Amino acid sequence: MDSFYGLMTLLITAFVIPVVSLKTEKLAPYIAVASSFVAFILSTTTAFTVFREGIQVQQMEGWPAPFGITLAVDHLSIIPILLVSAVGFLVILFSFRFISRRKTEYYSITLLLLGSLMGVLHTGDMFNLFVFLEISAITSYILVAFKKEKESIEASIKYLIINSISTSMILLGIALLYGALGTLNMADLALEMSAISDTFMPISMGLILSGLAIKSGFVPFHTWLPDAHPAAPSPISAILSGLVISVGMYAIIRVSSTVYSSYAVVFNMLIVLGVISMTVGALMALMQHDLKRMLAYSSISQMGYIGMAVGMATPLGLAGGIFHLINQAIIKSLLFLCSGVIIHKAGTHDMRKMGAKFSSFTAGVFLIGVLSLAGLPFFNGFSSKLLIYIASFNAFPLLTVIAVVTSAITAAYGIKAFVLIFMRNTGKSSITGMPLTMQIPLAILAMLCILLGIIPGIGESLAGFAVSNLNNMPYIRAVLGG
Amino acid sequence: MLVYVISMLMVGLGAYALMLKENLIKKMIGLGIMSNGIHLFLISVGYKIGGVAPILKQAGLEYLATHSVDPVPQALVMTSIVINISITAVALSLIIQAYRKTGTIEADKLRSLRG
Repeated sequence: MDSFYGLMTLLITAFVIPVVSLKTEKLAPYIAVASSFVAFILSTTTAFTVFREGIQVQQMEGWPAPFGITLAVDHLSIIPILLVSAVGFLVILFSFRFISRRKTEYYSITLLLLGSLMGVLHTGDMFNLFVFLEISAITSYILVAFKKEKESIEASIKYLIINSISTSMILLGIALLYGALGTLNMADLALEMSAISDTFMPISMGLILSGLAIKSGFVPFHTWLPDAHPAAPSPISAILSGLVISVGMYAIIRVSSTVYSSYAVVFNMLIVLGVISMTVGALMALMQHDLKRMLAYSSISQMGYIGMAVGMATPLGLAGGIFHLINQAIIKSLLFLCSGVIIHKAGTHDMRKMGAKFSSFTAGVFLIGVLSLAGLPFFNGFSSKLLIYIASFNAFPLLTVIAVVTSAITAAYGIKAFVLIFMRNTGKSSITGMPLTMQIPLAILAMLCILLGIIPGIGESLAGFAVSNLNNMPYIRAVLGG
Repeated sequence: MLVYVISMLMVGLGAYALMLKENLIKKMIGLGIMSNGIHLFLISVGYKIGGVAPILKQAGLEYLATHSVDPVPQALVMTSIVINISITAVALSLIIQAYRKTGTIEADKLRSLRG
């Protein structure tokens, strides 16, 4: 399994960077770019292996499945693995010229964050999942407070407190699981789970899934997100909004479909949470004047779409949800990186006060992001939202109406942001060239938006592959061997 | 049974302090109490009264199967303790920074952020 070595590369280079930087800080960005590129290449080769040969399983240190820690990559986890490694590489490339101070800390902790996200996606063990989630949480706290301004430190403390509650809930749920079933391997848990009916199981399910719902920012639990995501430097906002909450969503899908597959109530809860997040997030985004805050609320709204689609629990709904997970990550990292450029040039977060002239490249890329977010035809947001509309129409037509109205609100705040930022050239600041290392990631992400919009078959077949293999028996058989 | 009650009381007490106390240091103490409650719960899941250490050398396999303490929760708790130390370290350094920037560690006075 190559992507495991990608994960190890990220984790090891995270600790190599501080050592090398004792001599000179100049090398840190180069090491980070190289390491994330290696991780991306290795994930791609793993993706080909998974699609050709099926689930890849690796038992750590040769301990057989229920006893040791299992790493498993299947058709569901390979999609977020590709996303994390690709978007992570682009974000680090973007940071190359964007981050000018305290490079050692920045690159080391960012690589640790990416490595821990890869770990969450690889693991087949509940406690290992918890450990990697904790590493990603701790590194996120540090990166949110990276600017050391009053707002970012307060946001980081708020994030830390709310997320500590979430991780404690997850740990307590895992303790209950272990107490009742005596195993932590996900495949083994799934087998044991179908055999017994224990009163503690619904409690542990509630604890673990609400913990993960806090991490992925569903609405009653979202209060940390609009503070924490904008407070970080823009590339980190892109990682937090594009990848970290998506990985939380992946963990929800993984745990609910593999471990708690016999409890249908999970999916109804996801629909309720999803619809609330979708509408509340979009309405709150419409009221914001701060660009990054608006994007953060928009992430909540998009997570709502994904939650609702996954909650349908039909193949079409799940495919739509997973496809939208891909699109959300691409669009949101594009928009946050773009907002970094805009805010750097305008010198303010407030969209009403922005009057600077921006290059047509920035404007074009931002427009592509906004239109994809709103779900216009020929952009990737449309193709995944279309699947979600159809899936929800088959189940509850009322939800389709809500989803379409929310899309209209999304278009409204997107266009509002575009008009406020780019259509009022009152400022006098001159256009300065953007470095190539910042243009390339933006261009690649924008092209991905259009590519997945024109040829939605790519994403649909990826998501379809994941869904057709979501039945947990192949996974259990591959992990436990037999 | 008593130990489960105590551990759940600790979780409840910790959660109360973490959510409702205004002083950030007290919040962190609450976090410590809450996670220690969970650790106590996890340890007592695998504990046996009069149990022995699960080392194969001293006793036969069958003796161990009935008499030994489950080592897995202890390993889990060790890992979790390390994680908690890191979280506490990050949290306290953030609180120090917040005190330097604003001169207060009361959450209600600190809060300029909207939900």
